[in-house]
Parts: sequence; structure tokens; C-alpha cells
Amino acid sequence: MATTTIELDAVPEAPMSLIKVLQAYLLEVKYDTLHGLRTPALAVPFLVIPVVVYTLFGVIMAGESGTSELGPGAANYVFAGMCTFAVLMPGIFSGVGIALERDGKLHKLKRALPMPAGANLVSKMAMAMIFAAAALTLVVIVALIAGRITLSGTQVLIMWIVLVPGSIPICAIGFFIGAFTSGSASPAFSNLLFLPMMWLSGMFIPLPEFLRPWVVIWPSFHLQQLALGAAGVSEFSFFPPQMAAGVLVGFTVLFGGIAIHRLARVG
Amino acid sequence: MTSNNRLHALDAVRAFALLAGIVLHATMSFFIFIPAQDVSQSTTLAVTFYAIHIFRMSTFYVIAGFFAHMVLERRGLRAFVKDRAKRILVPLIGGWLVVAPPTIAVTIWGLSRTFGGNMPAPPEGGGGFGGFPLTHLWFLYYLCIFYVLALLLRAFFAKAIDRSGRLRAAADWLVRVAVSAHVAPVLLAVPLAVVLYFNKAGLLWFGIPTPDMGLAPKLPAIVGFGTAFVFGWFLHRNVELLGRWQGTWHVNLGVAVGLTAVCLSLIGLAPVMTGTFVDAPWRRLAYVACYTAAIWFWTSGLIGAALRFCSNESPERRYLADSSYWLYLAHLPIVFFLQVVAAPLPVHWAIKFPLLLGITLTVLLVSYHYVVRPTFIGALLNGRKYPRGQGLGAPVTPGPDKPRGRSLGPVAELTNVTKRFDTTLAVDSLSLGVARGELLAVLGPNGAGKSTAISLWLGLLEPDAGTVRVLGGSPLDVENRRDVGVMLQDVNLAPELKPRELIELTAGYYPNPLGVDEVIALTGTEALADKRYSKLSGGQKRQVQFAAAICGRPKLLFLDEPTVGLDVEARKAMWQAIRSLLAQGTAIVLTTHYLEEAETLADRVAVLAKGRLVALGTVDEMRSLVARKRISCASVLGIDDIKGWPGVVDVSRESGTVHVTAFDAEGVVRRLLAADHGLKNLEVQQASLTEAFTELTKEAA
Repeated sequence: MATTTIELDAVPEAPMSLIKVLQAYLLEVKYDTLHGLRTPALAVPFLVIPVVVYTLFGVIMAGESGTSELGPGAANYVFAGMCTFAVLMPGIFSGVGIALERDGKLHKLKRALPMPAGANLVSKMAMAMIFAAAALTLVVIVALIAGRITLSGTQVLIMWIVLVPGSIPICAIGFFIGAFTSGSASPAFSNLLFLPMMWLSGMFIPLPEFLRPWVVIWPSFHLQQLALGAAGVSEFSFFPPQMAAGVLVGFTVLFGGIAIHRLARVG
Repeated sequence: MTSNNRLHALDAVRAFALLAGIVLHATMSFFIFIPAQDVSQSTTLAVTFYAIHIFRMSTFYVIAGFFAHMVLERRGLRAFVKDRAKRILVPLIGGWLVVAPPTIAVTIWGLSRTFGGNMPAPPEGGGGFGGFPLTHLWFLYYLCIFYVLALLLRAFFAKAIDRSGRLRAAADWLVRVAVSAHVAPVLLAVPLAVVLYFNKAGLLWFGIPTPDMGLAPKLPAIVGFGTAFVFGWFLHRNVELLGRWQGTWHVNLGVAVGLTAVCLSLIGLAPVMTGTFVDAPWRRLAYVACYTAAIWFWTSGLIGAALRFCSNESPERRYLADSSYWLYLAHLPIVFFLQVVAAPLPVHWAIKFPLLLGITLTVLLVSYHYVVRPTFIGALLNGRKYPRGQGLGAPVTPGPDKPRGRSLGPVAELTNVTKRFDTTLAVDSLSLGVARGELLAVLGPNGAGKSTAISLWLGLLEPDAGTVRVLGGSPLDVENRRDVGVMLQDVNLAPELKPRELIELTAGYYPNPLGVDEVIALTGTEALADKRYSKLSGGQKRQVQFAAAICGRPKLLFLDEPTVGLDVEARKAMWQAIRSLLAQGTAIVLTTHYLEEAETLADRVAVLAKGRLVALGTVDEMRSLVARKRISCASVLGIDDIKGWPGVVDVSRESGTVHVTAFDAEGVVRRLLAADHGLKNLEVQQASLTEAFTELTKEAA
């Protein structure tokens, strides 16, 4: 091995061009995603749980349950809820990766290396969006095959287009968790947020009367409302989509800002 | 955590589950009519019952499955059957004969006192109505069923369909993945959730319907507790997973409490005997999902908490754990008797309930101490021990020649830098620089400020005072770090990527990186390049980190303890690469605990102690800074005489050999030779860097 030498001066000094910076971002996305796919504990639940849950409860069991409190369009509402659910999981749990990197001092190393600022978080977001898109597509395929929903193809497409970037505010919250918790605790804290959010935002079940006013505190509610509103499903549009979008931007700025601020300085 | 610690903790959980069962039964008369309806009814106690009832039996069965596998594995099939027959089957039959008749009698008495002549058919629990009344000993009956099923299935799998062990390996993998990803509580809840959803016969408020009537196995109990037993069985096969729960016990318990609250808000604080609730599919689904998940969050939280807090040996806890089995077996007739007696008394439950519990436990503990303990058979079984850990690298062998190629002007510089953490002064007015083609070794005891200095240079920390410059600017600006390579201590790179990929990824940050294959060749990591990083040994991981550190053709390289865990070959290879970098003009800052390494590689050595620079110079300068030399010889001269000579610091005699430590070695040697013509075996040694280092840091302290 000693036969090779490192030639520092043989190469002309080139500045870090914009193309190279973009390549660095893309490499980061590529390898974060690859790493995610090679971690079945992460990838499998993200991709499989939404479609399995939808198949079980949205397709198989919905057939036996008869009439619903939600009225004739219940299947559409459940579908929208499941789609939101598919996007939530990779988003919320994206912070786990951050927390693990902090535990393993990898985050510290990345701060010391000349990594383009933001490449780490952007690639984690991109990864979450890739997983969200895949999980969402699976749910859509099952819904279309099962023929439970009465939405048009365009409406489904609009929901897909709105929900995939909808990962971003959810990721921001995930990063917030990841920035403040350890690698072993962050999945638990993510669950601690995710499980109540799933049920209490009324995504797929009608809530008891006294809980209904409180759905507005959950980003999942706003994301679902944004998707339903944008797709023009007026039957279940309880909240103006513009306002829902505004709230989601607010979540992104608040939690993302705190997370970025902390991650630039600690860990 | 050793296996014994684990056993202490799990024993504590089993005892807790059993004792919680006593509390559970003691609450019953205060919110339902079994064994008698108390005049003072309590929602608090109903909720207490509800919460305990969620988890206690499932938790118990996890531990039972765990110990079952442990006994089977350690002592073999024959011993397992014998042991279980003695400790489970005999107590089941014998206990039933002794405990069931009074329990049933007391229950009938209590019900008749409550309802007079018109006794209702009890929907669940106690009483001698229809079927075979197992009473609370049903848990031993189901345990026996699980043992038999486990042995049959095990034989079937091992002999018939899974000879290669692949299916078992897959099951282990699944358990590991589920627990590691913290989804185990949710996945484990699924089978029972499905059964409860479709089981319209049971009352949902009571979760898994208690199978205390009749010998025919009941589906919800078999599925619910069977899942727990099987999971416990596999948990022992993958015992290291327990550590996962230890770290998150508080979160798991938090989620458990939350889910319990959600369940109660859905179904109500008092038992619901009928109602439309159970017929609304989505609410029923939400309820069973939360309820069954709560079972597993409670279980994982309690086991985690026990591992955290109860893994040390405590005589009191040991005693209680030993006694808990007896306490649980014998408690029911006493509790029921006291409940029936107390039921009509016009006293508030907050007085009755603790009194009832106190009397029961006193009677039971006294009986245990005098009647049971002296005849108690059964020793605590030892778990398995997992040796782990990996030694440090082999002793260092210094390499040959040192390359020297340096030029002037610092590439990285700290000027009067001070950094404070709270009240500790980590770095105190430190000025230090490293020039092109120079290797600066930073030495110092733990806590001397080495890591802080490196962190300041890398821009990971900002100084409170002074300036930090790297390649002509602040390290906080990424532009100035473009030509910096870094290898930090205790870093885990992305575990599922391969070294080749990690190098490509890191190289992407630099404007003019080396080719990936070039880096691999240079660092001698060809054999590792396509393995997963997580599969590499500690030393191999260091090699990969080194490769990532140099892939960007750095002009400034920080190496924090680079050769820890490396074998001799790999260490020499890394040294060679470092020399090659120096020859090319790279400035290197190295921290190391191997002083020989500094001696071999360093142009200059900086010694830090308590955040201050106590010495700075070449290796030779450092040695001479501690200018003492060590003279040994065989001589007849008295040590008191030599002590008085100029330049002598210390004299000692050891079996005929005189050892002299002196500043002026030449003068002392001349005088020694003159004074003793018969002097032999003369030896003069230069102080090593180790001695210099020890001396310097000792003075600073």
C-alpha cells in the first residue's frame, strides 16, 4: 500500500463549483435513502404498515361494518386519512436518523467536515418524501383496485401531489424531536407524538364530541384538510385549505427553525 | 449488565405482577359485586383495577416464557419437565384443592349477603357457576398448556419443518427488528386486537376475558397470553434486546398511561356491562387497538424500569420476590373473606381498602415466613453470560525513518484562546500552531483540553476569547474548511453503508478529491471496501474513518487517536500513509495516548495540562527539557556518599546495583569511575518521552 502517494499539488486547485455542491446534495440523498432501504427496521414499517392497515380496515373490514357515522362518503374520508398516515410515518420518524447520528458523533463529524450546510437535513427530508411517495402509491393502488373510493383520478392525483411535499412540516417536527433526544429515546418520543396524533386528529375515525375542537392542534389534521380541500372533496373539507397550508408552513418554520438552530451548534 | 442482573430485574417484575394481582382482587368489592358489593363504591379503585388488569397477566407470561426457555436451554428437556411439574403443576393441583373450596364458599356467601335470595348469574369472575371453577389458579393451568404447546411446537419445528433452523433464525430476526425499531408493542398487540375485535361475547372493559371457568381453552386468553409467552420465549433467545427497553422505560410507561387514559375515555371509568359502544366498528377498533397496545407498552415499560432500577441485588426485594408466588397462590380466600366481612360496614373505602390489603399481606407474609420459607425449595437459576468487548490493539512497535518536509507559516492557529464550560476552564489562553508539512502531536492527560482545542479548530466550538484560524480564516466558515480532513474519536459512520460508499460520500464534500479506488489502495482497505461498515471490527472501522479523513486531499488533517484498536500491521500502514501525507505538505494535528506514536511521527509535541500549554518543542527538546538521566552500575560505593555529589537528584540501591538519577550525567559518571575502580555494568539512559510527559504534567498539576 505504501507504493501509492497522495499528490496534493499535482491537481490544479478548483473551487467548489455549484455543480459540485449539487452533486454533494444528491450523493447525500442517494446514500441516506440507500441506508434507509438497508435498514429493514425502518423501511419495512414505513412502506408496509399503511397499505396493510388500509387493506384491512379500509377495504376488508369496512365492507362488514355497514353504515358509518361519516355518511356515504366514508370510504373517501378513510382513504384520505390513510394517505395522510402513510406520509406521517416517514416524516415523524426522520428525526430518529438525526438522533442516531448525534449519538454516534456522526453529526459532529459532519459539522466538522466541509459538507454543504443543510445537506444533511435536506437529504433526510428527501428520503422521507421518497418513502412517503412509495407508501402513498401503494395505498392508492390498493384503493383503486378495491374500488372503494368514489374520488376521480384527478382528485387522487391532486391528493398525491399535495401530500408528498406534506412530509416537510412533519419532518420538521421529526427533526425537532431528533435534535433534542437520544437515539434510543427518539423512536419512543416519536411514537409518543405519533400515536395520539394519529387518533386524536380524527384522521380515520369520528371523534367523540368533546375532542373535536382540539383537532386543530395536530399537523396531521391540517395536512389531511389541505389534501381534501385541494382535491375539492367539499363533503369533508372542514377547514379552509389555505389556512391549513399556512398552519403547516408555521409548523415547518417553528420546529424546523429550532431544530436547525440547535443542530448547527450541538451534537 | 450481567445475566444475573437481568434475572434480578425480571424476578422483580414477576413479583410485581403477582403482587399487583393481589391489589387488583382487593379492589373488586368496591366497584362490582364480586365477591360482595361494598357499601362504599369507588371510581378510583375501579380505575386502579382497570389499569392493573390491562398488563399484569401479560407481563407475567412474558417473564414465564423467558424463564421457560432459559430452563429448557440450560438444563435440558427432562429437567425442564421435572422442574415445571414440581413448581407449576403440583401447585396448580394442590393449590386448587386447598384454596378453591374456601374461595368459592366465601364468594357464594358474599353474593348471598349482597343480593339476598336473588343471585344474578355472574358475567365473569369468581363463583362456582357452570363449568369447572379454576379460580385464580387458571394462570397455572394456562401456563401448563403453554408449556405443552411450546414443547410440541419446538419438537415439530426442530424435527420436521425447520431442521436447518432458518425459520427460527427468521423469527429471531423479526423479534430483534421489531424491538429495535420500537414497534414491538404495536406488532405484538395485533393478534389480540383482532381476536378482541371479533369476540363479541367478552366485556371490553375487562380486556381479555378471564378464563377462570371451565377447562376448555378460551381463544382470547390463548392468543393474548400465548403471544406474551412466545414473545418471552424469543426474548430469552435474544436476551440483549432487554437493553432496548431499559433506555426507554419512562417513555413506554408514559405511552402506556396515555393509552390507558384514552381507553378509559372511550369506554368509561366504571365497567360497562352492555352498550352500543361495542357495536360501533371504528370506536371498537380504536378501543381494542389502544387497549392491546397499552398491554405491551405497560409490559415493556415495567420490564425496562425494572432493568433500570431493580437489577442490583437487594435482600428485601429478594425476599419479596421469593415470597410473591406463595402470596399470590394463597391470597384470594383471605381477600374475599375480608371483603365480604367489610362490605356492609359504613366506612369509607379509602380506609377500608388499605386496611384490607394490609391485613391480607400481613397474614400472608407471616404464614410465608414461618410455614413456607423453611420448607421452600427451588434455587434461582442462572442465566447465560455473554462475553463481549474487544481488546485494544497490540503493543506499539515504532517504525523506522521519519520523513521531514516542512515549510514555514502556520496552516492552523490558536491565538490566546480561552474556552470555558460553566465554571471549568477547558482551555486557558492557549496559543498553538501547525505548519505545512508538519505533524504536531498534542499530548496531555484526560481532561487536559486536547479535545476542546481540536473542537475549536474544527469550528465545533466558538472561543470565549482569542482567535482561531484555519487555512487563513475562521473555521466556522465552510469555505475555510474545504481543505480540512477530520478523524474524530468514537464516531459511528452510517452502519449500513459500505466503506467504498462512505468514501465516495465524504469525497463529495471536497472540490478536488482523490478517486475512491485510490483512497482504498492508499489506506490498504481493499479487503473491507465492500463489506457493511457495521460488520467491521473496531480497528477496521478506524481504517475506514482514516480513509474518509484523507479522501479530500486535505491540506490540514486532524487525527484524534487514530490508531486505537489497530493491529500492528494496520498501524504501520497508517503511519506510512501519514508520512506520505506529510511529505506532500499536509499539516497534521494528532492526539494520541500512545507516546511512542508521537515519538515516531511528531515534528513537534505540545503538552497540555489543565487547559494550559505546559511544554512545546521537538521530541528531542522535550526529552532534554526533562534533562535527567538514569545511571545504573554495580558498585561498592555507599549511596549516602553519592547523594552529596553535585547534579545528583536521587540515589537508590537494588541488590548490588546502584541507580542514580542526575542532571549532569557525564560529571557523575566521571566521578563514579574515579571513586570506584571495580565499578561494572555501567549504563546511562536518556529519559523517554513517557518520562518527560509524566514529569511535565505532574508539575502542572
